[in-house]
Amino acid sequence: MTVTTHTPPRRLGSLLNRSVLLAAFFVIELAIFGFSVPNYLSVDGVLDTSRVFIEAGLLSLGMTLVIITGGIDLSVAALLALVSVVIGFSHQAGVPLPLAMMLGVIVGTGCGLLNGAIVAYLHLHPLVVTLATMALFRGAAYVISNAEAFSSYPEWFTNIGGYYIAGTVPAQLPVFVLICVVVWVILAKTAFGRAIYGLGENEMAVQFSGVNVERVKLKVYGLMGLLVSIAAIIETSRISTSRANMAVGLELPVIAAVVLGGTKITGGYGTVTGTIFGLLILWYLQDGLQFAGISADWGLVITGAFLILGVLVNENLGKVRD
Amino acid sequence: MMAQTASAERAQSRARVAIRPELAPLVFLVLLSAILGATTTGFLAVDNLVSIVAQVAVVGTVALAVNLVILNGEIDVSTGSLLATCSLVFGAVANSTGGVLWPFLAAVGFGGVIGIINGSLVAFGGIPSIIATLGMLLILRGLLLVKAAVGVLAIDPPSRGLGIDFILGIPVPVLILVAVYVVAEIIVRRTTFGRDVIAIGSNGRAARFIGLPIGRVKVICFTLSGICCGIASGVFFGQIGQLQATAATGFELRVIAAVVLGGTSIIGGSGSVIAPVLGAVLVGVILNGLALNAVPETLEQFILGLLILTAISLDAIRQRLSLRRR
Amino acid sequence: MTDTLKEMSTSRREVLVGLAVGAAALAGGVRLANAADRPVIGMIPKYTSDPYFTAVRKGAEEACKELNCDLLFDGPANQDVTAQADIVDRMIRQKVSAISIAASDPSALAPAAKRAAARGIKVSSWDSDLDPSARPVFLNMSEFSAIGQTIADLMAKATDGGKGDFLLVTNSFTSTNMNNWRENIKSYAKTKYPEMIVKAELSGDADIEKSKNVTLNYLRANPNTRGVIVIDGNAAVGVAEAVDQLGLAGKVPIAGIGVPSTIRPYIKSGTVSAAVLWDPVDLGYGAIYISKAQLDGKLDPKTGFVDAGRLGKMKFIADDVVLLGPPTVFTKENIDKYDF
Repeated sequence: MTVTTHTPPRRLGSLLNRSVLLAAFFVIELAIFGFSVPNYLSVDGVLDTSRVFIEAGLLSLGMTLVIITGGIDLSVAALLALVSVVIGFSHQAGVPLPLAMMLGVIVGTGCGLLNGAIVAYLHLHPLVVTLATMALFRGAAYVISNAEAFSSYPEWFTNIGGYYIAGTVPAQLPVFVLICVVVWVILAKTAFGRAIYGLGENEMAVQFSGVNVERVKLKVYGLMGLLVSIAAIIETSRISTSRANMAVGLELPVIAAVVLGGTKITGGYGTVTGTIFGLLILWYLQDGLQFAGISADWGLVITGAFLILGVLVNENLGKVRD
Repeated sequence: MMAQTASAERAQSRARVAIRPELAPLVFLVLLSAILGATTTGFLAVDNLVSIVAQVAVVGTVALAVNLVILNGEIDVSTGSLLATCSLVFGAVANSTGGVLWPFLAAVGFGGVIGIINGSLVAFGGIPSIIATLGMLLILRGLLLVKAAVGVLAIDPPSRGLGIDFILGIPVPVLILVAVYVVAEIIVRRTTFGRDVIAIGSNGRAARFIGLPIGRVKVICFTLSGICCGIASGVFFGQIGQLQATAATGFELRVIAAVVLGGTSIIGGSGSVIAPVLGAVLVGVILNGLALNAVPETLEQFILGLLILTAISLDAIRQRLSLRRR
Repeated sequence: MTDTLKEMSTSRREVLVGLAVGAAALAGGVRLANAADRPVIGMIPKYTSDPYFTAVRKGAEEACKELNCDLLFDGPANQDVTAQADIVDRMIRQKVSAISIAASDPSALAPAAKRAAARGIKVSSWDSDLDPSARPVFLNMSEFSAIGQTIADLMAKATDGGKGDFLLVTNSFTSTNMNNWRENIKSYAKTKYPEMIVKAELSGDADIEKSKNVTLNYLRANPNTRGVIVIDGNAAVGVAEAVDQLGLAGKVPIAGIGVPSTIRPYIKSGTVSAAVLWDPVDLGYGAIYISKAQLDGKLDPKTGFVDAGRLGKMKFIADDVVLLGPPTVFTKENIDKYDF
């Protein structure tokens, strides 16, 4: 029909430049820290940092898809806490842990679908919807956990987030790489992926070409929910605790990473590769600075600055090219 | 013939009243207050009611300006960090000059400057307001933590007047809220700026087509938001007396909740000036009712989220219905 | 479609080149030698936005200077368990010699602490304990029972015997020390002041405004509250504000934990009848001495005590718990003597 394979060649030019730019930035960043901060650069250390950003990385993958459709999801961090609390406290109430984990995944994906349904069928702006569900999910986490924490996790569970393969590679890293590849394939190679780009470009056109727009949105937010659930399991295992005030504010650096990676906030354009580099740059920057003894609070300033700069560059780079 | 037109007109204006955005929250507020008054001891006590308004004065003051931003079709989520930072400015000046006037002016000035920056990023940098203000939220909070994380800033009682004093028996925070409300009403109803705000918010493309000064209007809206944060910071700091670097975290959500619950539509172009005050009071009454009834505080956020979701869903339905009527 | 593939491949190639360069740099072993022969002690407070922990840092710096060590003091700005765990992991990479931590959550920080111990880093805790299996020694400022009893006694004195319903305000329901104090206050009161009932326990989340609001709402709804027990420094300020605002200063006494620098005006005005604390500067000082003793291999419960410079000898009250000393009670008379 009239649905085109949506990858306009002229944009690919800037994709090319941007990915290279980001990759170079990342390498230079690592090199600077390596030379100026003692003990920083080592295979062990670099891999170890990955443990910290993998959860945000999973969220960033989902966020990329959401933002490409022209939407946004502010509720991801709250949902992560909710899933973690569901797992922990249902287990505390007697549910066997593997079942509790499945329950968590169901809740997480379900909440994602809830976001999608409200956005798609009530035609409400995702910004406000997810702002409200952010409070809803976080609140639900507090209610379920009664503001307490649950920490009695068995060793096999904490190994998910704490084990090192061959002593240096964090167990969750190969999992993350695999998921990155899967999401990349979905976005770049499937009709679903093309529809995602289409929605961000011109929703009405996509609708006229016979694609069920609501179904696509539902799936995108649902997928986000699934990714959040996986991230929740990993983070809960890593710190071996479930509490309602986990991951507070995590949605912000996630959005910053996605935007930094070249995804346009207005939709229609973005890549998995870009997001990953945005993620790496941001996280290793904060890691390096903290390693050098610079307070973590500067990390907030940096995230905010990169958020604004990232979008500024995205918007205006496009203008220059056109 | 004439009688028919007259009654048709009356019916039309009645219909218009029926779907005025702030009617629903107002009715809800009155009903809720009545129920609480009947069932909960201590609710209708004068000092309880007055203290509700004093507590929501800070949220209400800022919400009145953010209301303008939202009417204009944008959003401002930097208010939490901005309130805290303005309070820091207030406190720093208060500790060197004493009194209330200079700290107040400094805080308002600072808030205004940040507002101008926010507005410029949006209007001239092409950055969506959610991103610009999110970024500012982070940057300000980060700088605040860096500067003031070690310790708590305190001000002397004379500088706390805006928060704890009474004039003619009415708490100063309430007076400030009313004053800002009056100014906001005048701005929206009596100035071209006010009309432009709503026009741009309801149809940006048309507004550009007829040549409205979109950039300037946006900048002014965000500047007003910053100024109100400055005003509110005097009240805020006065009320709590000591400032932590982590103060007012999450404040921006309460502000948006107040605006949305009061009937202003989040997509812009529809709403009223009284909406944020209504919404703030409504949230205050709900939280007060929960507390007086010993409902566990863990439910607070959940209920807040549920309320916002319900409000915007109802608003969407209302919009759909009014479209159909045309 | 194949064009896309080719374009994609090109960018991917660039990416791979970039990564290769990076990997080469890594493999090349850009590893600068640790210039310091001085041991580095990593100290992690619960959070940094509290003058209490700033005072701890002061004491720690003092001790490090005396002991010829370097201090690496790092903590999250807010109560954040994940961030604390991350800091532990980072300190492992920074190759510190010892980690001394006030844990926001005993079991959540345990895996990270165990990882540190596995790499030969000496772990100890202070202020708020880790799970005992994760550390060989804990520096307790005062025995939980001593604090609990002192607070209960203070409240009883302020309310002529402590008969009635009391509100208790804490800063979280997961901190080890908070939980211990709560339990101690309640169990001691049950035996000594059987008519002192802790009717409600609320959390102010270490935020002054929130502590104030929960107290305001509670006192309004429960006008018969006899007094407010508060076990967190920041909460104490919020609670005092609330009581003042309701005009109940003196009528509803407040007693509990208080940090002199923030509680001073309320002690002087009488809103807070008395506050309990220990010297956080001493706490930081003592914690470093313990870490150094661990590094020197001199920490031995069998000797019964730890040498702590100007503090003299700190006693072992259990095989794995060292006591700092008795609590200090601040009243109108002596509060001006303290400047933290």
